[in-house]
Amino acid sequence: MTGSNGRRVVATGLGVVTPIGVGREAFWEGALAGRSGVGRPTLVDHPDLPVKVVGEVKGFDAAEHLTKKVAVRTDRNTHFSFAACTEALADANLDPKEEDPSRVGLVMASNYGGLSYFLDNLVDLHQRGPSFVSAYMAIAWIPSAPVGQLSIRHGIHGYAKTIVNDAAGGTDAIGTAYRAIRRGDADVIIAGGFEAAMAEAAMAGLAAFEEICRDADDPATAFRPFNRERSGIVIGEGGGVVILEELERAQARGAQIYGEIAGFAQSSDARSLKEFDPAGTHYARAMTQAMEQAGLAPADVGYMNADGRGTEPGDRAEARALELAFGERLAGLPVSAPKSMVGNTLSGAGAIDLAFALLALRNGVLPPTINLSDQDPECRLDLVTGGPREAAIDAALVGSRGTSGVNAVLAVRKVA
Amino acid sequence: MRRVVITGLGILAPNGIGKEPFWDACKRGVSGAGPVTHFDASEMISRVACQVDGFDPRAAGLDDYESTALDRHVQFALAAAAEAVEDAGLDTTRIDGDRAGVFVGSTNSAPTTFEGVWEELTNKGAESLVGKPLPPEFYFGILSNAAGSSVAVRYGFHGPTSLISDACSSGVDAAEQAYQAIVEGHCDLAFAGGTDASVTPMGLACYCTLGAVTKRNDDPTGASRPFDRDRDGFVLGEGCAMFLLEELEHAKARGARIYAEILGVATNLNAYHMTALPADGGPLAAVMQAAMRMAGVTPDDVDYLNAHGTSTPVNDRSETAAARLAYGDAAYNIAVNSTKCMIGHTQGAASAHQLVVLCMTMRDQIVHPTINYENPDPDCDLDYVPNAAREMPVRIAMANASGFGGINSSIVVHGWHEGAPR
Repeated sequence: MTGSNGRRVVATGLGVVTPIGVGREAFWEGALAGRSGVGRPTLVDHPDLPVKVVGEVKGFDAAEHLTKKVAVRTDRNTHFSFAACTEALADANLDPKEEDPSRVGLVMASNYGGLSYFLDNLVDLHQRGPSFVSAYMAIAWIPSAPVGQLSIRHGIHGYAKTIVNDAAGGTDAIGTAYRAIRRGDADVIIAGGFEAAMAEAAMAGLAAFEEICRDADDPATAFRPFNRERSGIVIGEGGGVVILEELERAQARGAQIYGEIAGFAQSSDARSLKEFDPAGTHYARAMTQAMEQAGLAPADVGYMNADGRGTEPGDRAEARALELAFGERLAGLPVSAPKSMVGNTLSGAGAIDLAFALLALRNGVLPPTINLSDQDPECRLDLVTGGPREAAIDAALVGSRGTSGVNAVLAVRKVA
Repeated sequence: MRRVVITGLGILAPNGIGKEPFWDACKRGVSGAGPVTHFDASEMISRVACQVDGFDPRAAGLDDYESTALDRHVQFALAAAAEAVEDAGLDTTRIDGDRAGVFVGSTNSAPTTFEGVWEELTNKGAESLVGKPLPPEFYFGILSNAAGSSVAVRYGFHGPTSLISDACSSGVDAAEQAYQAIVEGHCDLAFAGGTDASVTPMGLACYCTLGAVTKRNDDPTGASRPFDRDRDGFVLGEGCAMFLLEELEHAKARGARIYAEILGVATNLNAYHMTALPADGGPLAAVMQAAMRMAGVTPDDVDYLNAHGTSTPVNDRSETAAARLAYGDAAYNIAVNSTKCMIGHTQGAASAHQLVVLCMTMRDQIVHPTINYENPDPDCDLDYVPNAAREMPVRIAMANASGFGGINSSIVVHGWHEGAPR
């Protein structure tokens, strides 16, 4: 691989907005407690809602994070991004306005953009007429709204991208940012992703997707990746960001370092829009490439943050991929799907999973897979379950997959 | 350093489907604008659009599933990809699929499918969508990353596949992702491009209330008039362009015809306003300079700029200022045009359309005209190649894109004549 100029990239700040906690402390506390953020929908009020199990972000007040002016011009996904970004910058002790603004960038993921804004305005358009469409509709709807609004909020003039890649999008965004810093296009990038799809028509649309969990007697135990009995994907909302920074400048300013982003690879099953490759070949290749880039052998990896699709074909394909990528090492590799606690937050998932992995790296504690009462015998993995597991690790992988068979893998490790 | 070249083009544009019909129309100054016919726009203040009329997915080689279940913008991407493969003379069964990627730009993904189904089933919002019988493939019809993935599925491309949504910069930014993936060795070839099919009720209404679109409803073909004094907003368009980008040695090894080499591509942010632009064009100038720096060229080397040129009062003024700032005195020696005068603003496809224009311009050494240029604007004082095509040497060319949210992109390409070295 070319283009690194010897530059290395580290994570110096984290900010998260998730169903198990807003803010990284509440989030990590929830993770260690194995808390489920999944419950009945409260943001949408319809007696016959076809999706009755969701991971909602609770108690989030946009007014705490945005001015009223910006809040009314943006959707909930952008509101989340402001909260996470402010938290992450404070965590990194970094103010973009005091940096060379052309060297600071933003890379975010979003599938559906300002979905609620769009849906509300769609009713107004057709029921009241075109003049009742908000003048801010165009800029609230587009997936790039968070990047645009955050650039204005923090005076960021550098590298930018918005990635749309279903539940692999957040990992793609962070990987894209990592590569941009590595090759010298930026020194600092705020990277992550968000989703906020808790809207009536969106729930109706999601219910048309057969992998989605629609209902369960006990919502908190509904999302069961790698369990023999499953109920499908529980949709969540939220997301997070990570502050990525070139290593030497982070060290020079005495920044805290969660870990190094040391490898990133993408692949595509390219089988159909509907299925993963059951053999896991291409996902495994992405894992192997991410490890190679990071200079890691399978034995060096101490933790795998799995995608945890929560469907039989999805989980089994992931187990196959792990067998291919890790070989004999897999037997001793702790794996978990902490998504089981928050739901699949689509574009938010990559940043949330990276936050799990970086906090595991820093704290020497691996977050659990909850709702695992009877492990699928086809998934022969050492799953962290029944509570967190203490393990001093030096490196971890984060695996993400999106509908249509897109795969993305990040390798993180302690800075030697 | 691995080098990246463009070896295949595919395009659906409002003034022509297919590379040659599109380019022929551009050279002749043919507009694709007309009254909106995709839906009843009679209550909108802007009722003009640049639609791709006569697109038949089956005739374009799409199968039953692709032709019925997938959104129009995905169908566009599949059709354009097929043309690009044929144009490139690439046998996709004889390449290493693991080393082949797909990067597609799109602003709005799938409003055609969503709005259409929603309108019908909810009786235009009078009822809830909950409990309504959705079409069986609805979820895949609205899947937001389907454009890239469908192309990957069609050709068995197992390398990196992603969709980029940087508003109006999406097309060039997808090319940037593909370029970097090839340079850094993550793949050897990739589809890159942009696609949007959002001439829909909301697709148009949101720009009407924003005041960004033309009100020149009685003169559709004259409505998009970049750099003209009397321009009053953009004309909403739709379409797609896809390219095959290849690592140079890979292209040479199979004897591919090369259109151009990508020398530099950069993006940045205004951090100014979501829709307004800084009057001095400073950030756009900075990204143009960054792209030139990366390309190793100076303003004196640049022959031609395909401008973002939306035909809004503020963009064309700000972009002209940016060109003056980026190029200095050389700005007045560079031919500048805007393809949007003929195809409107095709959103996420716009800058991909511009890249096709760069390739064809360099192939034929002809710069297409900026039509509807009648009354000079004192704030727009560059050579806009008004109203008639111009034969001229074009060796180094650039394209600009600026998107809502304040994202700017610029790309520098080098024509490939008898393997002219860099």
